[in-house]
Amino acid sequence: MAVEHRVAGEDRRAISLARTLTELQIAEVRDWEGSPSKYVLSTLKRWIGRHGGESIRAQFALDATLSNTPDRYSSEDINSARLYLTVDPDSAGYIVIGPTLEMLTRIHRRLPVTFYGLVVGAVSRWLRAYDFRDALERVDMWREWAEGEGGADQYEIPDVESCIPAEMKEERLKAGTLRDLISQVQDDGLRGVIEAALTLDRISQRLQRPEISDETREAFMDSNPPLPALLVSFKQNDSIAGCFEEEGQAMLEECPEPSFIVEIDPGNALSVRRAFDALAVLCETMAAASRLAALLPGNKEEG
Amino acid sequence: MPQAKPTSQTTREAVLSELAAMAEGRHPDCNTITGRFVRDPELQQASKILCDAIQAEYHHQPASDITPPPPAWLLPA
Repeated sequence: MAVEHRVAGEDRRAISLARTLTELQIAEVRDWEGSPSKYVLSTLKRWIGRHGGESIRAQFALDATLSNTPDRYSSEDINSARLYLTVDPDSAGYIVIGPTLEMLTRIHRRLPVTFYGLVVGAVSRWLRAYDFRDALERVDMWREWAEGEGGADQYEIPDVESCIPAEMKEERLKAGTLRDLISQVQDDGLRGVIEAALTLDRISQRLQRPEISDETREAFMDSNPPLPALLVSFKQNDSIAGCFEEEGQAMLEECPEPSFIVEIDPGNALSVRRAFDALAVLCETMAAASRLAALLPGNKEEG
Repeated sequence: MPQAKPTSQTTREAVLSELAAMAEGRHPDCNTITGRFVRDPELQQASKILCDAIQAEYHHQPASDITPPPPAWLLPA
């Protein structure tokens, strides 16, 4: 994960954050070279590294930024007492989940939807994941537009519905039933995949994503939705991937909202602790997602 | 009898003390022009007023009042 720092070294907030990080022992004094901003940057890098940075890099391209403005595309300092820690994807990671779901169906018909919910739900707690639901929404928009332009049959609209496995309409398994099923799975590899999904889900729920103030929310009133950090399709280059590709061309037409943002009151130990703890859970979630992605047969065969 | 503090603790205190000096403007780095500017809201405000005044003057000045370009000067495309 790349790290950026957009606060002047002499800025009171950088000095204050450096002090708080030192007091909390989140910062390591061996990183001190006389510049608060460099010190904070090194601390951020070290923190990300400690919470799975290397694993994240294997599947995801994320940028963490510490800034005195919430919007990375604006220089407006909306609150002179506050810093903002944001995480945004440089590009989306890609999971082809279909082959795994096919294998899981053989064990239990409701296992695919349960597995899917665990994986995508965990990532979505922290960063945006683009999946069939986004693609369906996009297709609905295109249909509405096409009807106004002379009829949907005049245009080639991707058939997302047909690439969603029927098992995805099943109800998710309860936690107890899932645990019982895992113990019955003979295939070690498949059991490992299900266990990795459960671990990912557990990690992602260690903390609630911090809320942001109305003041910060207002800065994104006219922004586009956050950029997705993950694309999940059932097959390589299916209609979902096609919709993502198409939608991706307009994602940067307006500035996107940060995928993850946490406000920091740099002199307040509780606020700094909360922000760094949230970043740690985000990183560990993405690291677990990255390890899981490497286990999925769809990604191994085609990625 | 108090025990000597471990080295890491001493270093942490040294860093905290240097940061405290920076926060209070006692650190040598604070005496650079940029350092003083970043720490001083009045200096920032004065610069903003000056900058706004120049902008306003530039926008309100009629085109004819603009000093003509020197001979052989190419106008921006």
